[in-house]
Amino acid sequence: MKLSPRAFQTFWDVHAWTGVVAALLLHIMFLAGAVTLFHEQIEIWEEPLVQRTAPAGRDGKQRLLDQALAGLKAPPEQFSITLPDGPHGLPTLNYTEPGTETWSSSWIDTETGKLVPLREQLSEFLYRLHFLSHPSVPWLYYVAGVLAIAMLLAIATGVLIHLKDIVRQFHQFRPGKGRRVLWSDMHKVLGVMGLPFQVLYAYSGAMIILGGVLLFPFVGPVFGGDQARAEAVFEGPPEPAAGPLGAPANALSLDLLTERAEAALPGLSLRGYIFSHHGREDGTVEVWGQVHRTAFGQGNVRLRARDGAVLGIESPATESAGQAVKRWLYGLHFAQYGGVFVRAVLALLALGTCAVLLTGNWIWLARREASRDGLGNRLFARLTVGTGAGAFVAVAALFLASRLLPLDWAPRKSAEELTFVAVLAACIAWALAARRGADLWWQQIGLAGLLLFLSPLLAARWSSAGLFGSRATRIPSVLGTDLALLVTGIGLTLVAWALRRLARRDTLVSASARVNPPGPGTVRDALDSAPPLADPEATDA
Amino acid sequence: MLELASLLLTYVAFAALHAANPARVPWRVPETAHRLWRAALRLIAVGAFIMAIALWHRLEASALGLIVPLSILMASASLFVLLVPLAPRLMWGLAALCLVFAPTLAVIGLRHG
Repeated sequence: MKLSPRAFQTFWDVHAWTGVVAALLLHIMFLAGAVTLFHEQIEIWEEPLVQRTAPAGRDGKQRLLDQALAGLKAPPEQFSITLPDGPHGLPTLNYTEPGTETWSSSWIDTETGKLVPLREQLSEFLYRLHFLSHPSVPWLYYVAGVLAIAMLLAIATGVLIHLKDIVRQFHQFRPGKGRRVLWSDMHKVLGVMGLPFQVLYAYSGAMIILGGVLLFPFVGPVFGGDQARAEAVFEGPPEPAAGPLGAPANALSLDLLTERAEAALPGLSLRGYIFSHHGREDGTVEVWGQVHRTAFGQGNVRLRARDGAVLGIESPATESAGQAVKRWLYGLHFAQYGGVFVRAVLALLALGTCAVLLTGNWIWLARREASRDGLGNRLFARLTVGTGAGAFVAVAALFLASRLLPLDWAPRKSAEELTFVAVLAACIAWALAARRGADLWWQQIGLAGLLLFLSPLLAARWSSAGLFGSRATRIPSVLGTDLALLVTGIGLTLVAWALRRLARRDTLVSASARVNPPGPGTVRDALDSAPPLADPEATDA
Repeated sequence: MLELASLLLTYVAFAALHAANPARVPWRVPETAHRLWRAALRLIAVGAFIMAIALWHRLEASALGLIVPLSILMASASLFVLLVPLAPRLMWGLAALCLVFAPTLAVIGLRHG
C-alpha cells in the first residue's frame, strides 16, 4: 500500500511530533520497566534479611499471625500478610496505623518473631518509576497513561509510514553508511521487530492506568447510567462496605481457615491473607493465591473468621468478561509467565524500545538541522543525550547508592530517590554545558557501565549470598542479580567503546571536510554516504 | 533443555528467513539455484519456528506457548539484523551451530522431560 504524498507527510508529522513530545519520558519508563521485570530477584538482592530460606510447610500460619500482631500496639482494622513467592524471602505485613490512613510495611522475621520495617526500596522505586508513580505527585501516574496512548499513536502512524516496505525493514541495517543512516536503520529494524512487544505494552499500560477513567463514558450509553453495574462488569463484585467494629470474638486458627479456603477453591496456591476487623464478631479473612491450570489465574476465598463460614469465592471460573480481559492484560504486562529466561528476553526488547525512542529523536533532529540549525534543536539534542544516557547513569547510581548507604539509616529511602533525581539532573546539566556534544553519549554510557561494575563488589558488604560470597552461601536470585549487573556493565562499556569510535570517526570526517570540501573521493564521501536529507522517501521509506 | 532448544530454533528460523534472499548472504549462491534456495530457506524458517512453538507449548499451555517463542523471535531477530553486518562470520557461524545443536537438545529435552 502506498500513501499519497500528503497523507505520508501528515502521518510523518504526527509520528515525529508525538515521538518528540513523549520519547524522553517513555525512555525512562521503558528502562525502569526493563529492570523491574526482575523485581522479585532485586527485592531479595537488596535486603540481606530476606536472603534466607522461606518458612516452609502448610502449618504455622497462626504462629505467623501471632508474631505479626505481637509487633503492633493494637490490631489494625485492616491488614494483610503476603507470603514469599519462592524458596527465599520473608512474609510481609501491610497495615494502617490506627487513626491514620498511611500504610506501613514490615518484614515478619520468623526467626526472632520481630517486625522489621521495610528499609530498602530500590526495587519498589524502579517499579513505580515505570509508571511515574510517586505519592507527592499523584497526577504523574495519569501522565504515564497518556504517554502510553501517545506511544500507540506513534506506533500506528509509524506502521502507516512504513507499510509499503515493512518487510524490507526487517532485514536492513547499514552501519557503514554514515551516522544518520545507522540511526535510521536501527530505528526501523528495532521498531518493526519489536512492534508486537511495543503494541502489547503500550496498550496494556494505557488500559491498566486509564481503564478506570475510560469506563465513565460508557456508563450512560452501555449501562443506562448504572455505574455500580458498570464497575461490577469490569472490576468484579464490589468490596463489602466496612461497618462499625463488632463485639470482641475469638477467631478460628488461621491454619484451619486456610484448610477451609483450599477446600472451597481447589487448586488455590496460597500467597497471602487480607484481614478485616480481626478479633471481632464481624471479622473476615480473605485467603488469596494463584489458581493453577488457568493462565494468570488468581482467586480468593472470603471467610468469616469466627466460624470459618465461606462468604464468597472469586476465581477465573466466576469472573466476568471484563475481569478476564483485565487478568490477561495484567498477566501479559507483568510478564507472569516463562520465568527468568523469558524476562531477560523481554528486558532486551524493552531496551530495544529505548533505542527506538532515542534514535527517533535523532532522526527528527537530523532532518530539522538540514532546514534550520536553531538553538531549540541544539538544546533538544543535548536534552536527548542527557536524558537518554543520563537515565542509565541514574539507574546505575541508584544501585550503587543502595549498596553504599547504611541499611538502618532512617532517611535511606529519601536519599535513594534524591540520588536518582540528582544524578539524572546532573547528567542533563552536563549535556547542556558540555563543549563537545559528540562525546557525551559514550562518556555517560561508559560512566553507567562503570557504576554498574561497582555495585556487585559493594553488594558483598551486606551479603555473602552473591557472586563474591562462598559457594555454600550463594543463592540464585542474589548471584543472578550480581551477574546481570556485571554483564550489563560490560555491555554498556562495549556500547560506550563503539560510540567513542563513531565519535572519533566523525571528528576525523569533520576535520577532513574542513581541509577538503565534500565531493567525490573525499573521506567524508567514503564514510558518510547517506542519502540527501531533503528526500523523505530515500531516507525514511 | 527445551527452552534452550526453542531459543536456538527461533534464531535458526530468522537466520534462514534472512538468508532466503541470496543477496544477503556472504557467500555466492548460483543464479540457477535462486528459486530453489529461496523456497528451501523459507521452508527451514517456517519449520524451525513451528518446532520452537511446539517445544514451548510443552512448557506453557494456552496462548502463552505462542507468545513466548514470538517474543524470543523478536529479540533474536533484532540482534541478528543489527550484528550480522558487524560480525558476519560469528552470526552465520552461530546459525549453523544452532541448526546442528537445536534438534539434539530438543531430543534430549523430550527424552528427559
